[in-house]
Amino acid sequence: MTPKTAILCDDDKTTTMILKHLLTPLGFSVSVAQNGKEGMALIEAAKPDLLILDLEMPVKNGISVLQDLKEKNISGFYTIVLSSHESETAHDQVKQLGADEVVVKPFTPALLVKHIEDIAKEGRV
Amino acid sequence: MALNNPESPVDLNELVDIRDADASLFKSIIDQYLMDIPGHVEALQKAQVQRDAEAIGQQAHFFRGSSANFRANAFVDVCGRMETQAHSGNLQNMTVLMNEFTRELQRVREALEAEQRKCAPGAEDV
Repeated sequence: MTPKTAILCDDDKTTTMILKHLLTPLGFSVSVAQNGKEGMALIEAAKPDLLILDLEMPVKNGISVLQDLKEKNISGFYTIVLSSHESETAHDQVKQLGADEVVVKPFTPALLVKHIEDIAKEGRV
Repeated sequence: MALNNPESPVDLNELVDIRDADASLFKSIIDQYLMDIPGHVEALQKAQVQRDAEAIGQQAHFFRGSSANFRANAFVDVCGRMETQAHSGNLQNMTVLMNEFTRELQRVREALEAEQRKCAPGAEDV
């Protein structure tokens, strides 16, 4: 079976280390980008099955990545956005740009990964 | 280990599984966090001097997210208040918050450095 691929796009290295450790046993091959520019390069090189995208990053933020993906018509993967904003309006804006769901920071990595396991079982990832 | 200890500024319960499965990764996560601190503190101090609300918000956001992995709740709370205030553009109370930030960060750093020492080779023999 071909392993699923995930791209973690977040400048917080401790979080990406933990998420990578938790996603790998689920069968994900995980790549890490520390800003939106690196993330776009990874996505354009090989479209992932799952993208976990922080909104606030240096160089190129998550909103800019979502806008680029929309403009370039790059889709077909499950996108979870990590946001520090709790308002529904902010979440709706992100979803209109193509995100499947929004997780509010700070979050518990193990719970997020359990959620990913559930949606993978449903065939959504 | 800082587990279920109300006096500790961190709670490493979330990371127990990682420690048990891969002790070197557990240490690497703490090492990485501690290594990231000086650069981000420097950026935060520079942003405060320049009264750059956006940059203050970015740095507070970084600390809030990364410190949540260690359940450093008091520190995460300070970072959250700094981030909210920076996003509002009102920096009036920022010096007070910075003092609180520095104090809490020091507590978190000392707790994680203690964990780091426990992970050092031969530490169990001491």
